[in-house]
Amino acid sequence: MNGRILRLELRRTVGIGIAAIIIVLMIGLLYFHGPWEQPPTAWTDQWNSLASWQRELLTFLWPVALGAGALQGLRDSRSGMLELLGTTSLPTRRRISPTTLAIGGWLAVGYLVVLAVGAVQVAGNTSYFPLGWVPIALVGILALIAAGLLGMGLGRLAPSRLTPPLVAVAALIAMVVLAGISPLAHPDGSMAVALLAPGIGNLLDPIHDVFTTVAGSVTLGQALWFAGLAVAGFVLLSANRPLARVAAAIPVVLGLVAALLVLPSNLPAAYARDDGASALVCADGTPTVCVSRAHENRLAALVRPARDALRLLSVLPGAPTSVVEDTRTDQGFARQPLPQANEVVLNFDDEDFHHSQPNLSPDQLRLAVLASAMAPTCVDANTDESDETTTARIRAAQAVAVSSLLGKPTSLPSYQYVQPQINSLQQGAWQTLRGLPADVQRARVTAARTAALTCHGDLLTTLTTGSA
Amino acid sequence: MVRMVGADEVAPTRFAWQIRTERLQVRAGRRLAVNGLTLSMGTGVHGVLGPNGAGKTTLIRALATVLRPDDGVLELLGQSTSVRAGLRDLRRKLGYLPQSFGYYPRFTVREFVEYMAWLKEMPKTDIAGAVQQAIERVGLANRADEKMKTLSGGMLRRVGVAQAIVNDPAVLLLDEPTVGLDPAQRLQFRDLLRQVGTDTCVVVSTHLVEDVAAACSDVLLVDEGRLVFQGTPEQLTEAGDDAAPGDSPTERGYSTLLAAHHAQNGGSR
Repeated sequence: MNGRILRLELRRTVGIGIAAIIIVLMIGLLYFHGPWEQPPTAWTDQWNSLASWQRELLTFLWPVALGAGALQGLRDSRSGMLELLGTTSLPTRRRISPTTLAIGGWLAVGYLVVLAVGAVQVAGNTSYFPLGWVPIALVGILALIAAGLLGMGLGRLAPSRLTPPLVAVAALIAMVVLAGISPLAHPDGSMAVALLAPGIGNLLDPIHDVFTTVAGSVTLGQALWFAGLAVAGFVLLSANRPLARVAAAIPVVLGLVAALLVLPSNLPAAYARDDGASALVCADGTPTVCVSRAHENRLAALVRPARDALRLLSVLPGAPTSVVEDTRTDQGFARQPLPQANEVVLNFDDEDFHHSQPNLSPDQLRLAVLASAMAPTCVDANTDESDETTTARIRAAQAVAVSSLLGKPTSLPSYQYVQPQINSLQQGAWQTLRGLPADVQRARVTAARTAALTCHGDLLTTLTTGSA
Repeated sequence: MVRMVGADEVAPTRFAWQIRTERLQVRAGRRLAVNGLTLSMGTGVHGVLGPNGAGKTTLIRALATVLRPDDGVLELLGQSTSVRAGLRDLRRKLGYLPQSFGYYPRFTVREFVEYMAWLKEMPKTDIAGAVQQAIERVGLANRADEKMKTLSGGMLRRVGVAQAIVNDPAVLLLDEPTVGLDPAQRLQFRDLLRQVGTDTCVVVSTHLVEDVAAACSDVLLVDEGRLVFQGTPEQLTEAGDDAAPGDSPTERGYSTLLAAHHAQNGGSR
């Protein structure tokens, strides 16, 4: 390899332009409205989220890279250089090496710049640094390089001005088709083929929580597939005879077969629990206050308000004695058992925590812990979310119970569209409950909490009448 | 410039002629454009003349190893071009300017010539000096760092010559090298040809009879894929009939020989 020629190709190929396009388009999309900005798995929140959302955007950028590669692949024929090149001694494979390195290098640079833009923000938002995101990002880079090389090969194979736009559009259609055959559209169908797209499926079924990651089999299978495509591109570029060009099909088929053997065939298997992220980190001292490793940076602010809340709750019979973050996930896994009565289970994604907003005040945090103690997460699991009345009744009961513990009417963070309904329910129930003696109030709040823990009965009725 | 001289460069040649063909047949598409051509060329400048369609370009393309002979013998530097094993070594010693010279428009002149030197597998350490020298020899030193797309047709042609001579080829093949050159540039180019021709076998295909008369040591007249005449420019002039069409003795020689060839073939043209 000649370093001067590589530098020459780095300057003169379409690579530098395509790197710029990747950076502008990806950053543009990431800052534009999209599912990648939803906490807690926003692209700037966690390393895994950053890596997988960037992969998702390849749905749009993989076709662009393919088209750009095809444009580069046209260079020799469009410039009329084929005859002269045919009389030079250097073997074709060595001649195309600097060109492919330049294109591949620039594609990787484009991807890495976007990754770096996200990384700076992620580093400020979490103290949890797993290494599991690295293979996810590397497969993304490999997929992009494969698109570039395959595009170059196709451009050389079909040296027409129409080739770049045609292959780009065809690839985009393929992305849509692959998304269409995903198991979200056909729950009984095989997932493996859909995973041949460079994304992971987040656009259709975003990873909901920080405790889930992409399964290793997905990463491995996609790596094999894109490696096959990259090799096929190189074969197309270096082949001088028709038969050698046909040989490009071999790495494609090998990659495809290997990938389909490795890729999971159903949705749950495409995700894996991130044991590192979900491991609990507990504060020193008692009572116990624990959060997941992914949210370790919230622990310090949480400890004092959480222990205040436990003290307020301690007046209840069978009061909880610890505060623990909920690391259960419903991403393709069976739900773990309901929480125990002796612990308060927190979910930072709840309204109580203002949907994972950072920098809540100690009072807001204490309120959030109290609310979490009064109504564990039955709502999401067992209630039809469209059932506004049930949602409003549970939320109102939660607010009334918290008001009783604090001895004053207290509002919980807004439930947006059902909030007016919650407010009126809450006011009525609070008027009933506040007139009762303190020990009766405690008994009703305890009964409501017990009902909530087992997800049985109507909490608001329990609070106001003492029976479910 | 001081440089290492390899053993292969000082080794005695093992061939009488740099280019030798015998009953050479080459197709251009379906047509046998070169049809039974037998010739030998050694060191010097050989001008290939002939009407359009005579087979000049097909001959040069075969010599450049672009086209494979259909039949007959084609030896370059004592080696048959149909033996693929030696082709790579042979191509290192070729210089070729195609009739339609393609180039990468985004490259500068220097980058392009350097790229071609790399493709001809020149020793890494020699490339920069050889590139500069080639660019200077075609008179483009002041445009060396400009992009190819900014150059005029004549300048591009000169870049084409520069890339052809950059590897100091043993066989230099130039197809219509003077197209687009102005008169001063053509004079300069003839000087270059004479210089290169002192130690190289140069084959120049052209329509311009006066270029041949001025710069070539040897003239080949080709018609209908066959060799009509091979001799010195003086012999070409002497063959001329005063009544033949042409503005110069050389042109009259050209016309006379062609007419005679046509007559011999039953006036088929």
